[in-house]
Amino acid sequence: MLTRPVGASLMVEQACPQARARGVRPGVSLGQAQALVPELTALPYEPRYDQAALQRLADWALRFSPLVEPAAPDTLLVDITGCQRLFGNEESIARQALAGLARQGFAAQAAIADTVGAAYAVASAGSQTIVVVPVGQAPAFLAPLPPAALRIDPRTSERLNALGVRSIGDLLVLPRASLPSRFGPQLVRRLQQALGEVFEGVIPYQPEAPPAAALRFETPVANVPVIAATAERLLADVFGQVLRRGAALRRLDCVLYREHAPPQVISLALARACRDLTHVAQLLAQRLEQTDLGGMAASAQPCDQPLSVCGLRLIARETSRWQGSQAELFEPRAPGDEEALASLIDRLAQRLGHAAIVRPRLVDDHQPEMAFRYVSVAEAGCAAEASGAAVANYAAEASYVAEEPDRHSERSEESSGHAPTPGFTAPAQPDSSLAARARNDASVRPPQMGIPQPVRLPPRPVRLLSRPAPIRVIALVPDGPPTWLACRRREYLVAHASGPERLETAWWRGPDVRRDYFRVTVESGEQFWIFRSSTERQWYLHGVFA
Amino acid sequence: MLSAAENLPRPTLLLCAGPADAGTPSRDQRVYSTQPAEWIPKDPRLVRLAEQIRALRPRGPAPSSRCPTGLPSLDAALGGGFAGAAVHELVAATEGAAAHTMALRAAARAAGENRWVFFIDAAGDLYPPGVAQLGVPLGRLVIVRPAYPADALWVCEQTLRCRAVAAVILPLRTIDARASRRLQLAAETGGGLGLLIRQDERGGHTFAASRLRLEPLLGDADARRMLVTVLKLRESRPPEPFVMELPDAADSVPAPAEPADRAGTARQCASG
Repeated sequence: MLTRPVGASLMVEQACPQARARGVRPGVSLGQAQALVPELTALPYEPRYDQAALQRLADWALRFSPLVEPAAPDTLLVDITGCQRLFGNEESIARQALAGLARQGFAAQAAIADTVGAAYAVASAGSQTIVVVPVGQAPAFLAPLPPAALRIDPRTSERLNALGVRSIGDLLVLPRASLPSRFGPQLVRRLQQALGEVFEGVIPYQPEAPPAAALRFETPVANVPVIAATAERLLADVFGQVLRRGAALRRLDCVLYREHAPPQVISLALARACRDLTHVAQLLAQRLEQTDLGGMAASAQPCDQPLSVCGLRLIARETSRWQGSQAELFEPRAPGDEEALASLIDRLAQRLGHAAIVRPRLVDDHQPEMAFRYVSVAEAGCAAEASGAAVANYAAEASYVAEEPDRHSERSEESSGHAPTPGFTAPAQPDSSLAARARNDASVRPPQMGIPQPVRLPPRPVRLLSRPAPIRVIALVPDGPPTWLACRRREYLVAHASGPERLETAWWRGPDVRRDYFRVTVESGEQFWIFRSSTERQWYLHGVFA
Repeated sequence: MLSAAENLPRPTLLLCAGPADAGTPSRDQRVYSTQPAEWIPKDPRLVRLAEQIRALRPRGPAPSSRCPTGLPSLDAALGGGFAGAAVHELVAATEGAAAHTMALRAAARAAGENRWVFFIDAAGDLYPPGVAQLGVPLGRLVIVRPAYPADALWVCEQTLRCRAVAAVILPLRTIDARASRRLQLAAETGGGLGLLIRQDERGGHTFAASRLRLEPLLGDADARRMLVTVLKLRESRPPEPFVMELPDAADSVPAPAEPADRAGTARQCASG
C-alpha cells in the first residue's frame, strides 16, 4: 500500500487488491486503513517512480509505433495509424501489447478508437480488456459510459452526477452551447476531442539518445593526425554532454565512415567510469594510431585504392552515474591510486587487448596445468576484491600437512642421499617428502566445489612449460628417479631427486592422466620439475624452478 | 614506440618561461641553466626565480627508501635491500638460476598491503601456484601477457610510471642503455621497483641501480644454493661475491602445528 501525506496525516494513495478487498480505499487515512487491515505494509508514494516506469514502458512500446506518448499517471498513448498491417490487424496489436505488458508484470486495459479521447474513455471505463471501436462508431461506444471517462476533473464529474447526467449519452443530449457557462470550457473540449470534432494528436515521446557528436568532412581525409584532431574535438563535445547529464563515460564508439568501404567502429571500453577528458583522448588517439587507415596502409604497401575517411561519429555507448571518489579518513594510501591503476590498465588494454591483462585464480585441480586460470582484468575488475583476497590466502591455506597415510601402495624409491624413509612412517620433514600425495578420492571430486582441499603441496615451479617437453632419461631402477637426463639439447647429471608425487586427474576429462612428478637437482645446481607418464611410459620436462 | 619522450625533465625550458620581464636574452638564460657557476644573478627577483626552479628540478630517488627482500645475506650485500624507485637487473646465468624466485620474493615484500605487483610474461610460462607458494599475494598480482616481445618494454615503462604499482618484473633477453634510461626515469616517476630478469649480461652500460649475477650451485638435497655476484651498485662499491641459500618455497608458508591452529586458519580464510 502506498501513502501520501495530506496535511498532518497520511492518506492512502494506492492499495493492493487484497487490501481493497478488505475495504481499504484510496483516500482513507492510514489509521483507518490499519484498523481495517492490521498487517498492512505502508510505503510512501513516489510519483517519480511511476513516471520512470512509464518512461520505460514508453521505450518498450516503440516497437508498435514510432509515435508513443506517456500520459501521466498511468496511460500510454500509441498512434498506430498504418501500423496494423504489420501486426495482422488492430486487435492483434492490442493483444500483443497486453501480452507484453503482462510479461513485465503489468495489468492493462487496451482500447483502439478513432480519437485519443474515445480510446481513453473506452479503456478507462470499459469492462473488457480489449475494445476495438470501429471507424465512426465512437458516439455509440461512448454513450453508455460515465462522463468521468472523458478526462474531466473530478469536481465537474461530481456536479454532472448531482445533476443527473449519468452518462455521456445524457451529456450529448444537452445543448452544447450551454455547457461551457455551467461546467467550464474543459468539458466541451474533451467532448469534442472524444468525438473527433477537435483534433488531438499524440505528442511523440523522444527516447533519450546516447550523447553523440558527428562531423562530415568536405572532402575525404586520409591523414591520421587530422582525423585524430577532429576526433578529439568531437570527444570534447560528447564529454560535455555526458558531464551535463551528471554521468561518467564507460564505453565510447568511434565510427569512421570511409570511402569505398563499410564504416569502421573503434570501441573503447574503460576499466572504470571516467570523467577525465585527457585520459580518454589519449586512449582514442592511441587507438586511431593503430587503426589501419588509408594513409598508413598506403605507406606500408601501395594499394591502388587508399581508404579515406569521409566522416566521424562519436557515441557514448555506455555511461554510468558518476560516483565521486572520496578520500578515506583512515587510509594511509595516497588517494587516487585506484584511478591511477585503472587508467594504466586502460592504456595497456587499448594496445594489447583486454585478454592480455589478466589476474590469476587458483583452481582446485590436481593436474598442474589446470590448477589455475587467468581472468581478464576487465572481467575481474582491478580492485582487490574479496575473492582475490581469499585466493591470496591460498598459500596459508594450503599449508596443511596431509596426515592421512597413503592409500596406494606407491613405490617408495627414494633417491639416494636424502634420508630415505621407506613407507613414510615418520617423515622428518613432511614437506620435502611425499606426505602430500594426490589421493585418488580427492582427484575424483569435481573441481571448484569449495575452498581448496587443505593439502600441503610440495613446491611448485615458478615457470611451467605450456606443453611438457619429452626428455630422455637414464634411471637405475625401472620407473625410478632418473640419474641422467637430456632435454633441450643439453645433458644433465642428476645430483638429487625428490619424489615421486603422483598426480592423477579426472577420468571425465578425456584421456587418463597419471603422472609421477620428481623435482630433480642437476649437477649445475638447477632444479627441474619432470614427470613420468605412467600411461605413455615416457618422461617429460614440465617446469623450471627459475 | 615509446610515447613519453616529452615527459623527460627539461629544466631549460622552465627557465626560459620564467623571467620574461628581466630583459635578459633567452640564450644567456640557457647558458645559466647548464652552467650555474658562471652567471650570478644580481636581481633579487632572478635569485628567487632560480631558487624556485631549482626546487622544481627532479631530484634523485630518496636514498632512504629500501625494499628488503627478506633474505639476510642479500639485504646485507645491497645495503638494506633493493633501492626503491629504481630499476634493478638480475642476470640469470642459466635458465634454472633462481632469478624469478628472488624477484618475486622481493616484489611480494614491496607490495605490502595495498599496492600491486605486475609480472610481464611475454614467454607465457609463469605458473601462479608456484608464485603463490613464494608468498606473493595473488589478489595483488596482475600478469600482462603481450603478444609481441617488443611490447614488453612499453608495458614495463607504462607500469613503472603508475604509482599504484609496487614492483614490475620483466624477464627479457637483454636491454640497451636507452631503454634502460627510460625505465629508470619511469621508476623514479612512479616510485616502484623495476626488476629485470636478463638472460644475457652483455649489451653495455645500463642505468640500473644495481645488477646481480645469479649462478646456481649444487646444495644439499633440495636446497637452492646460488652464487651471487654484485656486478654494479649505484651508491657504493659492490661487495665480494657470496654464496646464499634460498629458503625452500614451502618454508615461506607458516606451518600450523596444532589442529586447533588449523581450524583458526580455516576460519580466517572463510571470513577473509
